[in-house]
Amino acid sequence: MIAAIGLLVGVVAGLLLQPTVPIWLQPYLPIAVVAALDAVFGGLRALLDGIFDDRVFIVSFLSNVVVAALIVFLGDHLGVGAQLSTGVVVVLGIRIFSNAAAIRRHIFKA
Amino acid sequence: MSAPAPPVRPVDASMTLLREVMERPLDPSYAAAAAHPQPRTRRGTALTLALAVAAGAAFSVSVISIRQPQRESSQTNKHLRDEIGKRTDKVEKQERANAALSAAIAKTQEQALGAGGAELAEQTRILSLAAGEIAASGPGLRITLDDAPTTEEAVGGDPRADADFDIGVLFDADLQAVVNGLWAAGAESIAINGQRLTELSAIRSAGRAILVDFRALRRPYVISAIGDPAGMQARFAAGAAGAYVQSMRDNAHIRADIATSDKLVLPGAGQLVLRKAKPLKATGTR
Repeated sequence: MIAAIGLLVGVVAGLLLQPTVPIWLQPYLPIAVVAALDAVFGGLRALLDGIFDDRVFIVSFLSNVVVAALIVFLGDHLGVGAQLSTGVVVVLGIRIFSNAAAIRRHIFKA
Repeated sequence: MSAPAPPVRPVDASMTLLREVMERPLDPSYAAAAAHPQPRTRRGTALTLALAVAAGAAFSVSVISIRQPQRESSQTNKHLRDEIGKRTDKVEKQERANAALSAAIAKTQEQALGAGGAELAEQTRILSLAAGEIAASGPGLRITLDDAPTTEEAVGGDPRADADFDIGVLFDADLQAVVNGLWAAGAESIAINGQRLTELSAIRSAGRAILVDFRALRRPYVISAIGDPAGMQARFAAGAAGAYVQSMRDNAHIRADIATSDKLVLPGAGQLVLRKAKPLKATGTR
């Protein structure tokens, strides 16, 4: 619960402060956001499954973001940044969809 | 005793990665953490909270700044547009100054030549009129050409942005053909969209824009030609250019409109500067 509250506080703080992101970080943002979404959906599903854990959530969130950014970074330097990003987005997209489906089953029992 | 049966491999053993993705989207560490709950420490909770706040802030900031580049690119766009507008204004101002100076030169010339040189001054005026240096007025034809209506609507954007050859789009060669036809039909002075054509003028293209004397033209293209309206129209229609315009109209749906006018005013092109050409001594100034 602490993690969810902290996350919300952080989101609001980010919206209010709107600091500028350094330009070298910007290519990694889109994929990092998708990875973060994946972690959020995973956490939501775990919450509905009754096995939510703050520590696991935060670790998965941060590691997801870092790994995603790292993959894009690596891809950019190998010259396959776009393709690698597509792969990451596909995998994360599938995960988000199946987590969303599990959440939907929990909520609507359908 | 028979040997123990080999472990059964799933048929899709080579697709473990895909199965992993499809069947276990939930992080297994949630289940592991639930199975072996760890006692919470105050430090652990504080750390979790701090990291969560940081992650949330990073998330929203990322989302905001992903949307930023569009704003920045449109800003750059606006900056470039402003720049173009500013420079165009500057050029126009200088052209006006040029025209004023040309008029002053003409007047000074007249004064310098004095009363005895009135004939010479008149001759200069006629020569610069023929050369296209000064504005001309008289009856003539006005031909308005425009791209086929479909190109704009079908593409749904700037018809010039499409790099492919497009049948309904006018090119420099089309304007050249029309202008040549007008000269052949007896035109005395011609201007395209207010750009006076002189013997040094060129109708060219850059990308898909048509340039006259290195100034890009905007659609529609209005070609004004001073000359005997009725005769010129008949000769133009009978000539090759008339047939060319007709075929553009029929085949490519180019919009072409030819109208006679009692009074056309063509701007002057300004002083023509010949850098290399020199008159022959023997034949004098003429």
